[in-house]
Amino acid sequence: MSGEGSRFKGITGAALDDSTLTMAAAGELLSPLILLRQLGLAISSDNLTEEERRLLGQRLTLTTERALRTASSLGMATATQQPLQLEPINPVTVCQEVIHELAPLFTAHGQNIVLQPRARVPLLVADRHVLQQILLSFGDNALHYGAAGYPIRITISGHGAYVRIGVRDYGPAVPIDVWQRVEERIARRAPAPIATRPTTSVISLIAARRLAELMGSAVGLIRHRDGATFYVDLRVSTQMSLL
Amino acid sequence: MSRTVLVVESEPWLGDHYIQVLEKHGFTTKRATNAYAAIDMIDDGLPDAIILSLLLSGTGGLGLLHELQTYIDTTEIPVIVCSGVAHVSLEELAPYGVRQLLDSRSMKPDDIVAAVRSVLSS
Repeated sequence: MSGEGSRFKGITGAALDDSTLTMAAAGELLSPLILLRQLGLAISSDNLTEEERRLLGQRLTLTTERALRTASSLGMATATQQPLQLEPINPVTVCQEVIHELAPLFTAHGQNIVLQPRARVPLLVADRHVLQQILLSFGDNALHYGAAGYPIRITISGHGAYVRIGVRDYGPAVPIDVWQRVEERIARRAPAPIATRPTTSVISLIAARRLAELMGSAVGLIRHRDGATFYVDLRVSTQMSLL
Repeated sequence: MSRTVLVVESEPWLGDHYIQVLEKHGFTTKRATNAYAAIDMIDDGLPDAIILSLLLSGTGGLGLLHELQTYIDTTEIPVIVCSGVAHVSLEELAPYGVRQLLDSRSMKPDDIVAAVRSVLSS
């Protein structure tokens, strides 16, 4: 059930400069690198069964891919001269591509990610690669916070002049006040206390917000009683109406 | 009798790794991926030691340490913190019941076993 009070509430916050986001990126990559190192040490152990070795190899690959996605997202978010290729895009196709990329990681975690588009979703205007990065960040976040046994749902819906793509998880949500505190601390360059230090996924979400801003769109968060939906709003393409 | 170690780590594959290493050395393990689940497990039965990541989802590791310090029976559970946070020291964490601090950026699998044995023997 949605919290109507926060519905459609956009995420606001202080603007991030490149150096602070770069600092955040270093911290962002620490988590997968720590995991990669431990998996690497584990796979070189002598007393492993073939199945254990195969599983560790798979986790090494998937964790590397996740780290690469994060690096790509942060790299794009910090690029000052981002060359955008805005074009009419079918959101269903983009979401299917994102699901295809995330599915192996979700499966390895015993999770599932599904697409639930409304009928007759209009084309939207976006840079396909940037939009993919935003949705991948949302997906990684949902995997991080989502509870096991509940599929993550990607939803597409039309809202007048814009199309909303949301990623719905079922688990402990990132509270709005935590999100805002994280952004404020980064903007002030203040070291966060240990207890409130952003987890990996939160910084990715901040990068997603910046990527959305590059396209003139916005990301937002809807808190639910049993999870959260992160969404991006994108302009509807008027190309068809010109025909 | 096997000693029980509660592993509190929100990164599931890292938690899997710690558990595999500990079980191969004869420890019984439990695992929690967040502070609330950890409290529930501690309520069900006190572990002999806790391995804790500071960067938990939701309520962080420090929140759990505060909670453990609130009750007499949980105050004495030795806690080993695995952290990749560069500027955290054992001196800062000791008042929260932390006995050992492992740097997850440089630790090796056997370090976690040595740390558990150390806190259980002291």
